[in-house]
Amino acid sequence: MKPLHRILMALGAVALLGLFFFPMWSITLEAPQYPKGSELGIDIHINNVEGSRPNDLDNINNLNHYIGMKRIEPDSIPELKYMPVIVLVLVGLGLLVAAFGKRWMIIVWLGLLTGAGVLGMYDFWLWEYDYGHNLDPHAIIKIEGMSYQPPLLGTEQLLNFTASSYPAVGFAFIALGGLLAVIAWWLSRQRTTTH
Amino acid sequence: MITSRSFLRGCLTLIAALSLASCNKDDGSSGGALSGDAASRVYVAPGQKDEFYSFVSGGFSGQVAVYGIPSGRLFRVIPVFSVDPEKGWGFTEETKPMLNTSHGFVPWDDSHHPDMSQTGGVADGKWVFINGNNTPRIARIDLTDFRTKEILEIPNSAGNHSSPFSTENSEYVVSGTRFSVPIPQEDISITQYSEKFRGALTFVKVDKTSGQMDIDFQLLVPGFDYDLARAGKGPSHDWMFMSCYNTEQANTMKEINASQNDKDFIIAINWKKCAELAAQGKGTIMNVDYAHNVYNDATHSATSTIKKQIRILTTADIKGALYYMPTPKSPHGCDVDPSGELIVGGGKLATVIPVMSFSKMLKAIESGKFDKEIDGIPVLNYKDCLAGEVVRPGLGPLHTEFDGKGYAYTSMFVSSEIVKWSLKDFKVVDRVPTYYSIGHLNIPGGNSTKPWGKYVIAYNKITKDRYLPTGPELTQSAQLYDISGEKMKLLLDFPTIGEPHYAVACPADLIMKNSRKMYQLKENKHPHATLKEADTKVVRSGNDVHVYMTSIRSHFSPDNIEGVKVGDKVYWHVTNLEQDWDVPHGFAVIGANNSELLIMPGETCTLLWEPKRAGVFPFYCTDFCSALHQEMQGYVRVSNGGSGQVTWNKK
Amino acid sequence: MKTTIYSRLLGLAMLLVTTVGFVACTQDGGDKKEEAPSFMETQQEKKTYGKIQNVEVGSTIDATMAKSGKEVFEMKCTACHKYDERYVGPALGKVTERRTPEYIMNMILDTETMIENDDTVKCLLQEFMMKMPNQSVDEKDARGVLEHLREHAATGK
Repeated sequence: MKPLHRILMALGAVALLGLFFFPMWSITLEAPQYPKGSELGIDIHINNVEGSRPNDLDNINNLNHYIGMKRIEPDSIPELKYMPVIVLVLVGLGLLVAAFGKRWMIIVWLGLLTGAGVLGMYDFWLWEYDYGHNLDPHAIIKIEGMSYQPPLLGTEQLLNFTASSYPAVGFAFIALGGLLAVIAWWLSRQRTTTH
Repeated sequence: MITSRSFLRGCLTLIAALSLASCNKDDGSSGGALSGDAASRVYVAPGQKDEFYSFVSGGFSGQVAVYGIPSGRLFRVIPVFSVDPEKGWGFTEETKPMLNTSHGFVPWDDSHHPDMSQTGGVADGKWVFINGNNTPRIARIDLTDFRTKEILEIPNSAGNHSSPFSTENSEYVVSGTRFSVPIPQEDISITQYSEKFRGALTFVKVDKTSGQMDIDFQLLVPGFDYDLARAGKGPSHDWMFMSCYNTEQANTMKEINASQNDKDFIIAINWKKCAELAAQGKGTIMNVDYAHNVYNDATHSATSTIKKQIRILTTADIKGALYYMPTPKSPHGCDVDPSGELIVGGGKLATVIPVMSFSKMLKAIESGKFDKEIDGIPVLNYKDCLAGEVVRPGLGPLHTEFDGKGYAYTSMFVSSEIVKWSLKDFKVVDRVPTYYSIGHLNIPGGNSTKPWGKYVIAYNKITKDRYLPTGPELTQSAQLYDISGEKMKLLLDFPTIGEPHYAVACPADLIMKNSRKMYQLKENKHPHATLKEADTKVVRSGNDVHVYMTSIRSHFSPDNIEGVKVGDKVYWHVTNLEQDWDVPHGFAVIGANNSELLIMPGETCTLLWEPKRAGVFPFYCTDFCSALHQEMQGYVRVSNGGSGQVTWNKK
Repeated sequence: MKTTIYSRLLGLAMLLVTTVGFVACTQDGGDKKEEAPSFMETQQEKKTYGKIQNVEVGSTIDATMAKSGKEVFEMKCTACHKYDERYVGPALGKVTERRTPEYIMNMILDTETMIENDDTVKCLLQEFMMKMPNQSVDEKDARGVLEHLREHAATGK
């Protein structure tokens, strides 16, 4: 691999560090009482879950107590502790790939990245399922058969709230990282010389 | 078949019909087409916001109302001098000190003139100052949370009408007395008015950052009735102009006896010079009690201190700083145009509107040519100071505001109209009727160096048939006129609270961006705050029981309390743990002889309850806060004896 | 064919209607263009304004009517009117020598109309700066007040 391709690969690896600065996923809750401009939101960072605006997480937890949902406590979510580690490992591996310069390594790296991503989404879905289904039996508002699992991706109506779940800025860095790696792989392919 | 005959008949009919129609259209246009246009001008669609905030005095209600312009919608009544049981103002332990005075607790006053704090002669959206006329006081309202934060009593004053009027950068707000009295007070015959009664003009310094008020000095002046004031701007920045009437010095049947003299005065005060003299220690220190009440944002509580001294400057101390300008006749308003050069007097019994010139006044002072002296204050010559007169404007001119485009608008009480006239040639260019008997009028920024213009709002004294009648007692009325064109156009007629005297308006943006959404719990330093549910408790200390309670949707904690005894003083210290927008909680308990609590998110308020009977009594949230608001309640058990050991349900 | 007569008629009608229409319309528009009339400017002819257009007064004073009229006068009028000196309003001791019975009755019964239209009243308003309020006196009592004022002008009682 030429130096340019290695640099691209390295940049791709480093791009993942963006996840430490920007939230990677965001859930917004809109309702008649929380119109556009005042809607509630949760930002999911690689190492933290917090409200989009100050007090949002507390307010969401307070509202959730009516339907018996568990409080979202960042401290009690173990993924927030080991996801940063996984990312750092991926960054490190990516830099090694750039150092060694072997094309097949890029594929492996991409495979690991995609695998981590898919696993992450599945884990997220499981978490949403748990919070949305395992409700307090003494909840104030009980609607037979109703569960409150926010959508994995997209928008859904949950009682008076319109819940939207979409990637946030941080996710773009994962995509960027993957893209740079793919470009590096593509550009570094052997071309048959005809003359 | 169309014959030429029928064709001609047709033409004749058509022409007749058209001319009739067009004539009718002209007759109807003042109603039909214009009223449609007016409606769209004042309609603020659902979800949209008004252009201007207007802070309108409540007059004898003692409060300040917040209206949106151009819709005329009422957004809030801010309690200032009068108790408000809805908000607990004057009833909670934290706010009772705000209404303390040297006469004790005074639960009402008469508030007339709001003035907004100014920077560079333009309203800056930080504070609104307002006067209490009856027990002389000035209040300061904070525009981040629309609450009264400070009330300062004015000593030696009786009738704080000429107040508060701010200087160009709110260095001072002035307070002049409407009723002259013996200073200091003494038990003498009322007929000694002209010998012994004096007026007091107080200059209150305003701190630029905190807004806190402090009396810098007080001028003792002849016993006239000091009515209204306006600070100079630009070239006249150092001066304050105040109208006064009753130069006859009558003490009885003033309706007639104070209306005898052909001219009264506008007093010109060089406050800059007076301030310098005061700073140098001139004048004397007088011992007099007056209250100073301040509300602390962090502790959510007010403290009242009785201050003991003020600096008095007599006319002898301030030679060269005071001058009387003759003005026809029993003047009320006294207004300075945006350039600071013209001073307009509103002589309510005069047949002209006199316009004085600041530069001519200075020349007259320099020339040393005075008509006479009153108590050492030179009286200048009317013609020497006059820029011009607006002749035959109407009957009973009162107040003038400016549009910044070279025109002045004066209210005429007796002829019930607003008159628009040119500042260049003093000619009347337009007049509109008001319904009825206008007092003050207000143009957004109309008394500043750069008026925002667009509208003039008339605040009237008589309503009669304007709205649905409500028995003998009718609401007061206000009219909104468009002044963007050459002629004024009536757009809207809306009722007001109390009796509005004056108002101050500014663009919404100036205040909206700073409007608080809630109080931060972590900044709450109230001595009896409970910042989390785990800390709630009930504590007995002798015959006092302190309940440390929290409220959040939708429960109180604790909500079952036992061990209170008949005759105890129970202090309910309730903290609202919400940190969300527009979620206040109320609190009320049966038989309380005061009011409810209305607690904002992050705030702590205290209600004193003195149970007189044994039994089990409920308390509940009064402000509809959530779907389970009806369930937000609790019980307190009051016993006729027993150990008095207080218990409560722990979470 | 009668076309020529009709066409002449048409021409005349068009002229007439256009002129009338133009004049009528400019009347309305004209008012808007003129300087707004002052409250003080009115028509010059002296007519009797107000509801009461005719009052019968006898050659002698009706003592009973004057007596009840005096009670009404003391209750409703003396807060602002004295007999021999200017008070809030003008002195009324000799008013029947200056004003017609119709004027006096209308000042009591149709005060607003008088203030708005009568020249004398408008001048007085400029001098006294107080609009006389409508004191809700009925016609019988107003007539009694007039009789009392007639008696006072004659005898000083």
